[in-house]
Amino acid sequence: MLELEIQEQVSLYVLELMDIRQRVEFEKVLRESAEVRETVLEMQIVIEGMALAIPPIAAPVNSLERIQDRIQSDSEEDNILIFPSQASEAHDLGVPSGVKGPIIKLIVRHAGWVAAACIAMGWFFSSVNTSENSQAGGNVVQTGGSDGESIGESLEDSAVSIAPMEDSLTLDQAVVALEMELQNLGKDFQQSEQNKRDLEEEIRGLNEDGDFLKDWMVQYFRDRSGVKNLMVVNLSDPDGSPGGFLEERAFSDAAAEYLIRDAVDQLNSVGDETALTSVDVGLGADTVESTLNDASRFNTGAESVSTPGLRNPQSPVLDSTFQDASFDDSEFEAPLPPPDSLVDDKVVDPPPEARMDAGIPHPTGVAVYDQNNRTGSLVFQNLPELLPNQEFQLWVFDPQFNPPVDAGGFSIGNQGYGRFDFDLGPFNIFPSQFILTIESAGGVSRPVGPVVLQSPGD
Amino acid sequence: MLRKTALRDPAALAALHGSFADPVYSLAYKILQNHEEAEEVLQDVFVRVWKRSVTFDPKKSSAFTWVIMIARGLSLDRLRSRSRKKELMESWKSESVHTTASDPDSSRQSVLSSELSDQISVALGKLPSKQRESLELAFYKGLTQGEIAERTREPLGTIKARIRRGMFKLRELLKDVYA
Repeated sequence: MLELEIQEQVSLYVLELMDIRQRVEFEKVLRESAEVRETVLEMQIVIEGMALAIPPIAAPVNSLERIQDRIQSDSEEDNILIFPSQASEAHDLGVPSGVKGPIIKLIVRHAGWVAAACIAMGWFFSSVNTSENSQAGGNVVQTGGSDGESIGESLEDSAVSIAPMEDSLTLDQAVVALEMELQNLGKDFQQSEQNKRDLEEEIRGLNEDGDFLKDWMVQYFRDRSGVKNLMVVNLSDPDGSPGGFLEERAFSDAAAEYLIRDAVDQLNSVGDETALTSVDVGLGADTVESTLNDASRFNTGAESVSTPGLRNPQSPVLDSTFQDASFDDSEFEAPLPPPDSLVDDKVVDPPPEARMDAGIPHPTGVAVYDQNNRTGSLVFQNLPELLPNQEFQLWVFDPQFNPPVDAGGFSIGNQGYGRFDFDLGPFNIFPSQFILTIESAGGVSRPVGPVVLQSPGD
Repeated sequence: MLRKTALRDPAALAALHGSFADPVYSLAYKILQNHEEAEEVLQDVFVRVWKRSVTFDPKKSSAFTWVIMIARGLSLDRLRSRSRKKELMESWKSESVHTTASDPDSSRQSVLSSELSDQISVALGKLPSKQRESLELAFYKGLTQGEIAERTREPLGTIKARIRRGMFKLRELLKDVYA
């Protein structure tokens, strides 16, 4: 027999009458007590009873047809691509005039952790294979296994259409590029917590030679600079203890030049604590480029996809090497604030209820968003196990929209890692932040649950 | 059905609609007291089910509970956004499950689940009236314990106890119904 206090909490939980703090506290109890979990499940009979106690009213005639029409309509709208749109012109994220300071925000509190997170993602990508591919508002690719199958192969297996290469990347191509980049970085990294810890320890203990991370960052930015309208955001556990964020906003060629220099400057400016040296898993300079240029890898017969809209036609073409690149940074007048202030400004301290239990692997993820097609992917690992009647819900913040845009929900069983593809529909949305929360199953209209992952906000 | 719906099977959606549309609509109407809004909620619920059924985990809840909680959440969202919420709250004061839920348009009475509904209503009627009132205010109106205490002018501790006792007693009563 449960204590009265627990009984009371069970009642409130099932009725969804708890505030977020109460909910988070109670869910700790749920995790620890099978008896409480069982009681919560049993209480669903009350929910059903309260609904069925209402003398039934027949749903309106033709309501199914109207629902089907609406679904069809939504589906058609999703496929409408408007080029160029007024909204996209108004929100050119390339090099907006009047912007003071860099578009990119490279936040380095402990750069080693940035590398560790990236390598961890490499470890993740190097070991994924698709075990389930469900389709709904979003598409969850549940991953698992250790046979080394890549996401690129998984995409092909799951019949995801990948357009041939043109002068810019489709979302899927970008995901594959990211995968290759990270996979290469962590190619010898096996799926084991011990290996992960060892590698993180190795990185933390490296000497002052920062070439590895610097080179990697430069390569990273250079490769990404070919993606004109893509946003790549590393998400981090809002608990913040790893402390590393790397955010890349959609940017133009001119901005890319600046960003590369900026990244190098920052990496050169960080102290001993964050200095790194080379390790055995360095990124081959041509890996990503050759991968992306391998037409056979991407050619599935689909029509090519161009990416008009946000491109800055005045931008110079990015040179093949950073050292030779020329750029005009006159538009970026403000100096980059020191990393510490960036952290303070951009990283929102998580609410206490959002903090993860000590000892639980920190959730990490990367959100990739294609501005043109309004679709994106979130790849993640170490997400906490959900409780009954919960799901993860991804939110996209855009100043135009309040509450934030619901990018869809997913649940992933107890594996904690996978990929969620989302589609933001017909609206031109210009994300300023991504947040992943835990919400009641079925989703909610605005984020109220604990934050699991968040990107730096504007 | 939800699994098939997750795979974008229109027939599964239709089957789901056939099973759940009436209780979803009834609940939405119960909460909103407005047929147009109830139908909008009905549509919202099934569109969400269509898009979100991939997230449904049968190990964690029944499909019906999952759908009903979506319906309740969407209905309460609408209710809370209404400027006339206060007016509805007042009208709710004198209502009970047994006297208000009937649709004035008798032609719309659903016969599919009326028997079960009657049995559950009887079970609910076995609850002490104050427990039932607290549960109804919490479930159908989404009021917090504090709001219920304020509304009924009862101490907060009393309301907490009523909800707890009501929930656990109703669980036992409903077990008998389903048995």
